[in-house]
Amino acid sequence: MADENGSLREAGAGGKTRAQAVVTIPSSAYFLKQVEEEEEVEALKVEVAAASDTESDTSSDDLSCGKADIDPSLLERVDEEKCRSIRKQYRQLIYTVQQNRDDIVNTASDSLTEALEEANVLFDAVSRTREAALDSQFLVLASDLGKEKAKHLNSDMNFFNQVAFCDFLFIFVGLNWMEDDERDPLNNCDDNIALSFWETVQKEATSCISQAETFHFLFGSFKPESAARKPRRNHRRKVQKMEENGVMPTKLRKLDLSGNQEATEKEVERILGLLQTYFRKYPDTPVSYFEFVIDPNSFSRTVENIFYVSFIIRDGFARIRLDQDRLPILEPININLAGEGNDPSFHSRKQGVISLSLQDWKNIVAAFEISEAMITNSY
Amino acid sequence: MQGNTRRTGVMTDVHRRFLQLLMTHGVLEECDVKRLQKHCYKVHDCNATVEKLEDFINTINSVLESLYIEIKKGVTEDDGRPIYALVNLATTSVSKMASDFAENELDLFRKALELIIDSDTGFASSTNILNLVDQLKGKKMRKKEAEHVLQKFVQNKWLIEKEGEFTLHGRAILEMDQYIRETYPDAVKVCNICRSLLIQGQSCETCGIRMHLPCVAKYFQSSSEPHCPHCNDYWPHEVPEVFDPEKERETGMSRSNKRPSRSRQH
Repeated sequence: MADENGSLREAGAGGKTRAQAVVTIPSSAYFLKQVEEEEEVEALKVEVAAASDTESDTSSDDLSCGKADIDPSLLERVDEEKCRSIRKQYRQLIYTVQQNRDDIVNTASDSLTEALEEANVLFDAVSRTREAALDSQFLVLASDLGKEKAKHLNSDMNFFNQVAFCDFLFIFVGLNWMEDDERDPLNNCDDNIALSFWETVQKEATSCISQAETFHFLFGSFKPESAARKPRRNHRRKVQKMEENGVMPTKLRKLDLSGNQEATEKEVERILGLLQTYFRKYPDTPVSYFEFVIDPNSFSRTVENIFYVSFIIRDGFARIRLDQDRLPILEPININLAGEGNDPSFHSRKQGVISLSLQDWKNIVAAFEISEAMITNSY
Repeated sequence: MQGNTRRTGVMTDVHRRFLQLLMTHGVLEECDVKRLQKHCYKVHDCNATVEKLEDFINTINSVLESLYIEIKKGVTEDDGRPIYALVNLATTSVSKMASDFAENELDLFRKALELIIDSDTGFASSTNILNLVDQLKGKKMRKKEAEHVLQKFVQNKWLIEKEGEFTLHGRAILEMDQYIRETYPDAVKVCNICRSLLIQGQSCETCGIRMHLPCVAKYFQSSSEPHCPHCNDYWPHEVPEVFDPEKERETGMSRSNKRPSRSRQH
């Protein structure tokens, strides 16, 4: 302690010798603070002694600029009791604030402001650096807390606390959440209350949403020059242009199938020739459809034949019907009759293929005892 | 449209609410309009005697007259449902600024309108409309954006899209009637029966007169062998059924999934 006092005195003396008193005051205050911290648990007597010592030094520092005529020792004695109580109050304040740190930061209470105001009142009585140092210590703590509170402040408006919102909502419509033992007042109350709840909410909400739709129109929103438009283009030319556009896909379709189509056509014609030869040979006996199309040696050839014959029937060169055994037969259409009202184009042009599995084909070959294809291979 | 015997009625809150709601929807079918009217009476004045819909609308129109706005009644061109739309009647400096659409969007609509009017069927394919996007006035528009804009016009009930082709919505026909007649005097088509503007309908293959589908339905309602009212030649098209609100109500539920396929005769 003595050392300290000595060093303090040195500091004070150093301060005095230096030209700027401003520098010395903080430095002595710094020492004071240190002393304060260390002596926290020390005996009162020592404290008093130290205090009076340092005080006399610093006050002489303070007053070095012209007020030296006031007796410093006189001032000290009067304030000592009071100063101690101020220090005590400051420490108490700092302690409580630190204890309630979490509460102060996390809740929206005014406790920090209240503590600051309390400190302000205390500061009115402060006359010495020592107490002032405690005040600034408290201020550091308070600003720390302030900073933390600021960090917690919800600056992005996206955050939405549902529970808090519900609470506010119930308070707003006059339902008290707390009154109910169960935590679900809406389910407990009858429909009327629920209805009035939504009505109240709706009334409030509608005032926030501007619902009035404006008048929408198109007429009159066009620029004037569009109304006085250029003389109409030649309609015919336009139609032509459209047709040109339309031609494209038709062309494409033809191109796509042409190769295929030709081969099919040739084959259909060849088979038609075979059929007509048969009809000429036996003009009155229709040919069994299956006997005609089925190639006992080739299933795929059979399927192809069925496909080609469908074209012959579609184009009206032959007719398919069921005979008395309900088996399909192919009949010639009388070409002479076709001329008079029996115009093939007048028939509903229908085209169909039958489904035929490999097993069906084998069965038919066996049942009809087909040993030879009527439609001979062209290659 | 309305006779000049119309007296200036007094608008009540019922009328105002009705007008506001019609403004929100832009266009409504008759059954919805009736429901709306009932609703407005219920909200504001349960005891008031309910005006007949026609008088009710005339009252509103008498007030709107000075603003060059009118509630017009029309009929959808395809199936003849009665519709009501709030339309603007005048081109003013204010109306030019108050549009919902940007300059290039309006120009796209104008071009689509032109294609629809010039077409024989009353339909313009989306491909043909999109091909005109490069010639639009105002800000450049990409084809993709133009597709969105067309969809916007469909949503706002100015256009109808069917199988990739666009035609005018009844609302647009009601509102653009005057514009179309003035701008395309030699391309505009008129129904031989009701004499009003025709966009899509049937036409006589001999003399070329055109008729709205609903007009065709009504005109040939009782005749088993329809003949053209102009040249008396055989009417070659399928005669659609007359719109029946009663029947409509019954089938209303299933309507959306079995809409009659579009008739493409002309």
